[in-house]
Formats: sequence, C-alpha cells, structure tokens
Amino acid sequence: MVIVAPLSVEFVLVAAGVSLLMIGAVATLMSGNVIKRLAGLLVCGAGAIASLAALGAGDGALIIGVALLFVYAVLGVALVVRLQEGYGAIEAPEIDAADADNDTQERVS
Amino acid sequence: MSAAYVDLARAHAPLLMIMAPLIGAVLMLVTGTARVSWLVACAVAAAGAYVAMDFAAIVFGGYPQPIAEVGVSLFVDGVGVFAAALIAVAAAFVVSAVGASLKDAGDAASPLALSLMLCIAVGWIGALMARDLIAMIAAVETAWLASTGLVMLNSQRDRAALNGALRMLSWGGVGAAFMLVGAGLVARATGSFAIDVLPLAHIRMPNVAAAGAALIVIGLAVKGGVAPLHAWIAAALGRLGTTYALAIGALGVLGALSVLTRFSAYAIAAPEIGGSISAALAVLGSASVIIGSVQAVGARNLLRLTAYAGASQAGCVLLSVALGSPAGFAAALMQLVAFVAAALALYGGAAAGRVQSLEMLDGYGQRAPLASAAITVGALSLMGAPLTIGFLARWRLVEAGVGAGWWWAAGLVVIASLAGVFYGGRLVERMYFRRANIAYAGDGGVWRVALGPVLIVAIVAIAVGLAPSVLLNAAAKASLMLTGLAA
Repeated sequence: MVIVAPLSVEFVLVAAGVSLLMIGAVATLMSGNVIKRLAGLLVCGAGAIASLAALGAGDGALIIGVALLFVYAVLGVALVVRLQEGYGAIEAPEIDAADADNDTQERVS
Repeated sequence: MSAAYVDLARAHAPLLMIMAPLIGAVLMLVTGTARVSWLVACAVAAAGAYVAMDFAAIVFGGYPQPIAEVGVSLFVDGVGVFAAALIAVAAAFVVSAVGASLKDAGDAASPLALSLMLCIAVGWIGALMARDLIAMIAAVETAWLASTGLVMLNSQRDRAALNGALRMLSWGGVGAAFMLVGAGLVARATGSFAIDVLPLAHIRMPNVAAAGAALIVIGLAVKGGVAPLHAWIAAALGRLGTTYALAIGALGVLGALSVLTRFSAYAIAAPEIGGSISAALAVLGSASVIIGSVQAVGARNLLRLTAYAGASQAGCVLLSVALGSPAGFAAALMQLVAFVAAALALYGGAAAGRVQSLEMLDGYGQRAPLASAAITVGALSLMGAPLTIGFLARWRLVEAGVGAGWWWAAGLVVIASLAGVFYGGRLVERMYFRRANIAYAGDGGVWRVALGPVLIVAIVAIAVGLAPSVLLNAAAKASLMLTGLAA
C-alpha cells in the first residue's frame, strides 16, 4: 500500500495534466476565434508543464517549458493585434475567406 | 602555430557550427543598413558551412577527431554530422539568395529577417547536436519560433502571411506541448533525458516510453510538414513569393526532418520500443506519401505544390527510417539531400520571378532561363527521373525496403514518382510550351543575380546522381555512426 499510494497520486496528476493538454490542443486547433485559439494554446502548454512536473522532471525542464509558453504567448498576442489591423477581424473563417478572395482576384487579373 | 589553432578549432567544431551563425544573428541587430547586414550574414553563414563541411570530411574520411568536452554538453553522431553539414551549407546559400530581395524588404526589416534565418539554422543544428531531449526541444523551438517570426515579417508585403503565422503558432505550439510531455514520459520510463541512452537503457515501462517517443515524433512531424499534420504549410508558404520561402520551405523543413530522423533512429534502436516506433513511422510515412502526392497533383500554386511535394518526400524519409536498418538510415539521409536540392531549386526558381500561381509560369522559360532550368531540374528530381539525386534516393529506399521484405514501400515510392510525373510535367509544360500571359514580376535589378548561386548549386546537387559515390559513402558511414563519435 505504501508503494501504490504515491504511484496513484502520480498517475492522477499526470492524467490531469494530459487532460488539460488535450483540451487545450482541441481548442487551439478547432476554435474559430483567434483569441480562443491563443487561450487554448496556453491551456495546452500549462497541461504539458503540469504533466512534466508530475512525471518528476527537473527544474531545467520546467523552466524551459515555462519560457517556451511565455514566448508563444507574446508572439500570439502580437499576432492577434496584427490580424486585427490587417483584416479587421479575428475570426479564422473570415480571415480564410479574405485570403481565398485575394487568390481568386489574382487568378482573374 | 597556426596548425595548433586549426586543431583547436576542429576540436570545437560542433560548438563553432552553432556559435558562428548565432554571433552573426546578434550582429544583424547592430549593423545599420540592409546591404551591410547581408554581407555580414553571408560571411558568418559561409564560415559555419566551412566548419561543418570540414568536420564532416574529417569524420567521414575516417580520420580520428577528438572532440573537446567543455561548456555545453553536445553529442556528435553520424546522422547529426551529416545533417548539420547539409543544413549549414543550405543556410549559406539561402542567406546569399536574400540579397535579391533586400530592396523590397527595406533597411528596417532585412537585418531582422537575416537574423531570424540564422536563428533557424542555429536551432536545427543545435537540435542535431543535443545530448538530452529537453535541450533538443529548446533548440527545435528556437528554430520554429524564428520561422514563425520570419513569416510574420513577410506580412509587411502580403497580409496573408499573418494567416500562415497563425497556423504555425497554433500547430507548432501544440507540437511543442506534445514533445515536452513525450520527453517527460521517456525520461520517466528510462530514468534519463539523454537521447543516446535510449538504445542501451533497460526500459522499465515500455508502453510509457513508446507513448512518449510517439509524442515526440508527432511534434517533430508537425514541424517537418509531414501529412496529415501539415495544415500550416500551405498557408505559410503559399504567398511567400520571396526568398523567405527558401528559409521556411527548404531550410526549416530540412531541419525538422533531420532531427526527426536522428531521434527516430535512436528510438528504433531501443529493443523494447523499436517495433512500435517503426510501425508508427511506417503508417505516418505512407499517409504522407499518398496525401502529399494527391495534394500536389491538385495544387494551382507553385509554392503550395512544392510544399505538398515536400510532404510526399518527407513520407519517403519516414519510410526509410522506419526500416530501422543502416541501409534505411542511409536511404533517409539521401532523401534529405534530394529534398533540399529540389526545394532550393523550386522555391529559388519561384522567387526569381515572384511566381505564385501556376499561370505565372507560362512562358517562364524565355523570361527567366536559369530559374526555369532550376525548376525543371527540381521537378525531374521530384519525379525520380534517372540520373538525378531524386532517383538515387528513391532507389536506395527501394533497395532497403525490398531487402527487408517491405514490398509495399517500393509500391509507395512508385506512386510518389508517378504523381511527380503529373505535377512536375505540368510545370515543364507551362514554362516551355505556353506563351506568357502575365507581365514578368521579377525584381529586374542587378541584385537579382544573388539568386544565381543557389539555383546553380541546386542544379548541380540534383545532377550529383551522375557521380554519387562520395555522397553515398558519407551517408553509409553516417548511418553506422549512430552511437556517437567520441565519448
């Protein structure tokens, strides 16, 4: 029992981290709104870092995970601002439609 | 005296390969004008390429080369040396080609773009020299985030680049999270983050280790544009009608596939998980060959066609690695050479005339003979036409596959080549057998000659299929040096 208990806790923590990871990944890849995508990415990254911590990874691995998540967040925010400036929209379907229109116009001209 | 310095430099060659472009990337930010930045970038990229080629020549020439173990812990193996040399040389030519588009980008953006390109090279070479999984992931993400930044930078010319950057950020971020968890799982199962421990470690939890390795493979496959995980590639590359496409489509994808090859080679060599990883790579590779070929046949944009053809080629790389034999690893390295040569030829040829849609290729043979020749040779290599490096690489895969009883892999290679005849033939027909109906959109300035070296080198590299012994020997030796060169 003494051995099983810590393993069970580890399993639950890893499972929770991986669940966060998967929920975040689905939100990132499926959401139409760019801000929701960014939020999903942050959840996904947080899940990955939580899983790493639960698996007993050292400080170095966790610091690199946090640093990566920070850089992705900064780039993501910059991208949201540029998308709003460039397209006047942050909905992915609207952005895709605008690009498709451009492609069609270029082919016609 | 100078001989002592040369020996010292050679002993630190792996570190120099990383430091030379890294110092150059920093220098870009303090040099004032675009032209000066470009000259400095060319110098440091050429220095990095020279060091990498010299080191590869020593290693594969059979000379003993002690490697200094100071500072950052690097691990040098055959696949890493071969692929790092390939990336360093490709980076030197990509940076030199940027001279053609400096006028468009302007003084403000050009130094930043050159800095990001050097960071891409640094990241992928660093990942190939990394000893532990976390260092590898950090290096991979350095390269990926630099690639994303480069695509965002191109949005000054075309806002569609922002859409590509968004997809790169989304897919790449999820891939990074997968790799981090994968590394944690592998370390939990083997007791170490070290990559070179994998084949030798007693793996206590094979299923956990296999799941971790599979997550790392998926994360790297996203970055290598392997279908069906390549949703970013068309949006990111489809409107990059400049030399930036060379950095993302040729250099970036080559780096990701090289790191994927290296990691997979170690994972397959681990007896407890090798079978699972081999099967996963075979499935992913087969899907990539088929999906990439079908998408390339249907593409109406030259840059997207090249990206999809690259996905098909990436599938061949994965199939070669999945074989898990030295012959398979050597075939994978040959596929990498064939991929980067064709990508440089096609993206470089497109950049010369800012070609995006296939209609813009009509009559291109008369307007831009060298660029058209490069596109033609690149297309022939993608078809796997005899006497090209593409044929040689696919032949090696067929040999290795049939030797291992994987007849179906040979069938997939034939499918990839037949599809190549369709989409490659279409390019040749448009360039040489149609009249121009769109005004030439190329730069027209004298700096366009900067694209010349990359186009000529791509043509020559593809023609290496005529006398391939040096390359074949190097790939064969690299595949046998998987466990490292020095302790």
